[in-house]
Amino acid sequence: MISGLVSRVVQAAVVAILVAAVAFFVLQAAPGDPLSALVENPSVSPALVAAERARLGYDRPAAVQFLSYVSAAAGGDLGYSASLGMPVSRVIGAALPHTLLLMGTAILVSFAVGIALGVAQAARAGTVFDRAASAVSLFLHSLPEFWLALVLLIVLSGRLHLFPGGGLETLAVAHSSGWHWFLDRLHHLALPALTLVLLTTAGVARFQRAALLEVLPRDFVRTAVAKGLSRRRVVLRHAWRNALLPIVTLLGLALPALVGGAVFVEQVFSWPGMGRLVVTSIERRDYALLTGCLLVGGVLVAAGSLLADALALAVDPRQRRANRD
Amino acid sequence: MTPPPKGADAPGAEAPLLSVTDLRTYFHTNNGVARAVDGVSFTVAQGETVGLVGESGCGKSVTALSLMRLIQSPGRIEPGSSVRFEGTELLTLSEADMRRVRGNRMAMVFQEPMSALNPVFTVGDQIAEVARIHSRASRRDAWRQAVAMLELTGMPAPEQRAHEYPHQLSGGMRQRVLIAMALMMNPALIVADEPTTALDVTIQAQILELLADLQRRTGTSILMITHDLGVIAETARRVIVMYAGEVVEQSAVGPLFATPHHPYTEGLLAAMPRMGRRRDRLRVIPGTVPPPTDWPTGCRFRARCQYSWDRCANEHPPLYDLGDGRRSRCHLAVEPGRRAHPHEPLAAQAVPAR
Repeated sequence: MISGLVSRVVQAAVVAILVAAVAFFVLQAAPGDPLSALVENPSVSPALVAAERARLGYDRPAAVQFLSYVSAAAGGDLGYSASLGMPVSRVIGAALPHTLLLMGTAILVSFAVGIALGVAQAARAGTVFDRAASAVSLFLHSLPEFWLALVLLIVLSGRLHLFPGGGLETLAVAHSSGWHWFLDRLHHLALPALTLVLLTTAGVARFQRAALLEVLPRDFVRTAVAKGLSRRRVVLRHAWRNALLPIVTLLGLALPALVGGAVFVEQVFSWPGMGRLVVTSIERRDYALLTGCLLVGGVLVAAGSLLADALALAVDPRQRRANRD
Repeated sequence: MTPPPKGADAPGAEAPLLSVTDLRTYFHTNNGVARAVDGVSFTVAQGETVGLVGESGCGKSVTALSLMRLIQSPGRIEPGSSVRFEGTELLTLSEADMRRVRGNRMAMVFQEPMSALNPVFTVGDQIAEVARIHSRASRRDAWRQAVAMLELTGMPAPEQRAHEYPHQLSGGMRQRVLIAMALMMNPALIVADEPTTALDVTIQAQILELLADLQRRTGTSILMITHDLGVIAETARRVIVMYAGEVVEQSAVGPLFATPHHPYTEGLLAAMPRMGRRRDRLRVIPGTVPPPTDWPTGCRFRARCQYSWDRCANEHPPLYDLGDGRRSRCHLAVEPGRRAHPHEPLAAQAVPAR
């Protein structure tokens, strides 16, 4: 079991390095570099640009640049963001907690609600409740996230004024006492999180329903009934524990999807997280920042699937043996 | 259709532990109504082992599940059926009261020891759960009882095994787990549905011996459901033979093996390999059980029978009383002379010779 986890940690590290390589070389392949904009500027001489290029190392072969990038990144140095005028690690260090807060909230709520809904549906499969819930979740599942985000923003914030229109916090409250500050943060978090929750919950509920329906006709469920257990205990303890594995797998897949979805949602709600940083860095051709964002995103995804693997081991005793052999 | 006889051959005044009367379990499917169990009556006395035999599709497993009320939709136990157990009518009990019977007074040992156990819980946990539900035992007490039960079933190293998961155990060990689970509350009746079918022969013998031994010690009754007459010969005192959703013969084990009355029983015995009897090949009963949506009129075994005559096509045979507690659903009971003139069964004629 331990050796299995170790090998997965190694796998995750390899994935992260590959992501960095892809991010780096794709950007290298794109025409121009961070100094290209200066070439058009009549007050900057070409010689100066060339000298600056040499000083920053942009004239070296791509492979050499990559190696020096990776060795620096391993030490926590992700380069310097030209557009924001500070080290990339500091920029990301400021944005990452906001994204983690948003994603963490979205995952926690959507999986809790999605699992509960899916189980309730499977236990009453075929009823009006089940059909209605399926229809609603299919509808939500098929919505594009930026559209849903905009609609929620326009209706709940613009028309009804129930929530702030964006940002992390109200400036006036930002430095006030703990409880007040917490409520204000929560108020700002609600809409972007709700957007992601609505989209993800639908998928989780559909998955959970299907997984449980697949388990319910199995022999051991009948054994549980024959033991004299209540239906509640049969479904929630015996069947559900066996229908949890697909959900754990889904969790591993949901992380990358949420990272991607967060790009739009953060943009719509002006949420100062990684998604907005990606958009900013592309707009400003800030290669160092973009590469750093992609690398951190890759690490997040790898860490997510690592977490899913670890959970799968906890949920299914049969996998433990498979790893021991 | 002739009404089936009420009750059965309990000689004393004492009411039998289990008394099934006119049990009908129908499956209402899109292809029509499958009458899987169609008017079955029998009894099981205190401490008795009764064998229920028949080939696949004859309704014996559905009968077992009906006793525990484990029939799932589209299956339904039809009104008018009766299952009396320990003086209580089970079919009209509330679901909550029925739960107090299941696993407590009446327990079931299932056929497939691999799939019948939950893969994500330890076997000790699964056995202990029975005591935690029915006697509200503490976690620690229930676990101790579970280990004691495993030991009783002859499980080697029961304390360690209790901590293992089903996939870590052999088929025989898993069957011991299921038996331990069934015995946990010292039930009055164990319904064993093909308990040895999935096991290899040496383990089969061990499990049967174990069941017989446990029965001697605890005095529980056993309804042993099997397609294997060998299992019946080793364990049961009385046999009920089922065919096409009906009881076709009832008898004590000795007379049934010596002089089977119903042609179906005769066929089952002839199809059974036996020591000391040299024969080049085993006889098989020609044809198959007809589909339960479409039982033939008259005698349901007619097409596969080597004695059938016109009466069998026209008249559904009642369960004739042959005396000495024997019953047979065959018109040979009233026209015994016909047995002297066997012929090729219709089902064998229909199939071209290979």
